[in-house]
Amino acid sequence: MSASVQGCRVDTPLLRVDSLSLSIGEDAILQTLSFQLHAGDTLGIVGESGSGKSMTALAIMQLLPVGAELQGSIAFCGEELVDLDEARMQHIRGADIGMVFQEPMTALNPVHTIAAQVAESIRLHRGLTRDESFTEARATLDRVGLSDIAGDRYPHELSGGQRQRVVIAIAIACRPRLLIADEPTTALDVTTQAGILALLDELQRETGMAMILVSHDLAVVAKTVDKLLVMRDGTILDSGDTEDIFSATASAYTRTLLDASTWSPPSVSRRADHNTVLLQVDGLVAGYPSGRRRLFAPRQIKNAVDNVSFAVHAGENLGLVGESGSGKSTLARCLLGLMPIEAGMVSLNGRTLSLPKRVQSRSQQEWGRAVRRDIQIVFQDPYGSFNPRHRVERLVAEPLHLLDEPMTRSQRRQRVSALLERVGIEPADALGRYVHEFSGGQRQRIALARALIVQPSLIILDEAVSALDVSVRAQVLALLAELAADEGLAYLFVSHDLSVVRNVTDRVLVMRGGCVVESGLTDEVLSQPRSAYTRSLVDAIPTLPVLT
Amino acid sequence: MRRTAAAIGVFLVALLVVMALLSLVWTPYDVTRLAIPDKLQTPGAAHWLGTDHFGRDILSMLMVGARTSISVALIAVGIGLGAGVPLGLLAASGAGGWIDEAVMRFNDLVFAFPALVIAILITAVYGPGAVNAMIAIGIFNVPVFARLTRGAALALWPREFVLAARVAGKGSLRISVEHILPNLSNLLIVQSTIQFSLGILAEAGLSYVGLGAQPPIPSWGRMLAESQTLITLSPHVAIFPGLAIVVSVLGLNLLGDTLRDKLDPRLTHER
Repeated sequence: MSASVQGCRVDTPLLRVDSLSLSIGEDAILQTLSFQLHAGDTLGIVGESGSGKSMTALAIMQLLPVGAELQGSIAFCGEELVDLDEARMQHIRGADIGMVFQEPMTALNPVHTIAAQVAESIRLHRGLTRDESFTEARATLDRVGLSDIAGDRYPHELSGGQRQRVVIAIAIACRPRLLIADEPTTALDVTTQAGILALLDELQRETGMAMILVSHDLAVVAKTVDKLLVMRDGTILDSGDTEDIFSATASAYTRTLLDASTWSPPSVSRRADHNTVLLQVDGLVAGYPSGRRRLFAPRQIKNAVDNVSFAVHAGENLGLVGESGSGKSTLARCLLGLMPIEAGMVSLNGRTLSLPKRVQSRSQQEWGRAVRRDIQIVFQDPYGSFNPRHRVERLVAEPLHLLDEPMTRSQRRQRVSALLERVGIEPADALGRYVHEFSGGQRQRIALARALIVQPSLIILDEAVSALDVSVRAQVLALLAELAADEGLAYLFVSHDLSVVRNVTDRVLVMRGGCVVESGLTDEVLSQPRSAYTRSLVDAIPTLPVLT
Repeated sequence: MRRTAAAIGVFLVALLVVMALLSLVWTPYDVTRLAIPDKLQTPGAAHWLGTDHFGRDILSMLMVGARTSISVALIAVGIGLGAGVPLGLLAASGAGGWIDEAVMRFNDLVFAFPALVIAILITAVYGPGAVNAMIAIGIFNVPVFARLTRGAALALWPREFVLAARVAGKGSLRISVEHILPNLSNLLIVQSTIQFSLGILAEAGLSYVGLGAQPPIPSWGRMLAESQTLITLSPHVAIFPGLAIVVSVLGLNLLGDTLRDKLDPRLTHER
């Protein structure tokens, strides 16, 4: 305790960052940042990927990657943190400045119980005995809303939201004066996100600590913070009171960000043809095998999708909404034939696509493959959905394998080029490159080109825009709307993000625990939800203050 | 630092290969010619690395020995890669099924026997010689590569780019060849260089106990064995073959690291 910063004077800012610059190698990451924070303040740092917002947080904690060069000054309670010796910094970290990271699973040690992990931090910084620290740890776990969970559980036994609460408990256990939360809710579901934000807000009010909330999502920070920094390319574009920034004083870039997060598609005439059923799903049941009870006993199937029926009409955008574990991704996989189904039937354009294995004959399986070109998918992760060892031409051409007649090399190149152009990628430049040379938004465009190459009538978008920055997301959504209008495509829009679903889909299905709990026209379902679960999802959507 | 290590690795392996290749057309002296009057000469102008107890030129013997070591290790790694990688890919593509079980239990079986003892058994049954040494060492490389391949391939199968290939209607054989194998190449190259250096050591070990290449073909392991009794009298007779083994293994390991870095497109095409 004696080692922590004492006697911070009332008139000294708690944190003063002065012309801070950071470079790694030849890249300038941060350029002359200056801002300050007083005790009890809440500051939001907002920006898209590469804006330097996380690096700012890491610079304050002095947890920068090897090779980073820092110039300027970071004063915490008047004490200079830049070039402070590591032993002293270790006392400040945890005791005076707490940090919450994005990914709660990797931030916790899997081999220790949660109480032990909270207690460890308390013991290190507050010099309590083992028993005292455990008592204190349990009290802290109660404080973050984990009172009904025993402290002797392990991280893998908790849900994502509960784990993030444990991470917060560790961060606040030593009663820091400053809490830095770096994208604390990005990895969580909407309903869980609302709970975590409320908890942070409450803790901040109660303890009077200052808080820095780093996020890419304006709507997440808008409600929680008093002051806002908008960052881009390592510089501060806008700073000031949150209300002022949301009013007309903001820079053009901040306005773009605001507009992008409330994006709605240009009013194209929706071509949904409700007479033509494109995809029909009847009583679908599917699941994953769990462990055997005994050796040689048949594996038990744990149902992830339970008796789901719905239809997608030609040219329609159907939203499929649910939290993680609701079975929406499993359902998408069944439609693509990537997973065997246990019961029910899937048909596309009136032809059977999937049947349970025991009633399926070999010829039906073959036939299913031929039909498969009508249904394609764009995955969530723009990094993981391409083979890193293939070049763009080969990647985009991959589904051509489904065509009956093989194409010549030049035909193939022509087709790939035409599609890349269609999705806004310059083919001459892109064909011979690897995907890691492209940005996230460009990769999703390439993924879309790959899906379009066999001219499908339905594309499944499995969280396809969730990993993108808001401004890029708006561009990709605009492209999707344009393609739908031109090609008469139907989309199955799988997402946990209701704000996007609300803007781009005609009808929506809400899933929970493998079952459909509600379905109907998007506007009706989201404005007058009939089930309590849908209502909780709708209420949890973070909203921006209305622009004046 | 990394650059230096790479340069040293490339230099040492190049030296080894050049020595082996050169020995095909030229050696300073004939390694089969015995010249008792010249025995145990220390390194000098006539014999750069001296001579052994039969008066044979040590440099010439090292050059021909390099050829023996390389060919035994190369073929042993080839057997391991050629049989182990397809088995691993097959097991991973049918993970949890009976093929997977069969392949992995077979691997366990091979792993259950101490490698060198079985190698000795094989050479004892089929007669000592370089070819039998290659096969014996090669068999023990199979489960090493099969396990490595299966483990790494299992991690790739649930990846989205593999799912994308399945959506494109590709079967497991095609996916294994087009998508899984190229993404394992780093791992296989590094493992191959390690197995290659282990192969050199194993060959030296077998020759040391007289079960490797037979006289008059020189081999590093036998050179060590023969010099054992002379070590206090003429240490250079033992030092040079020993050094050759250590330096080759070091060079191969450094080269493996370098290759891994160079072959990764994510590292070479950045920005």
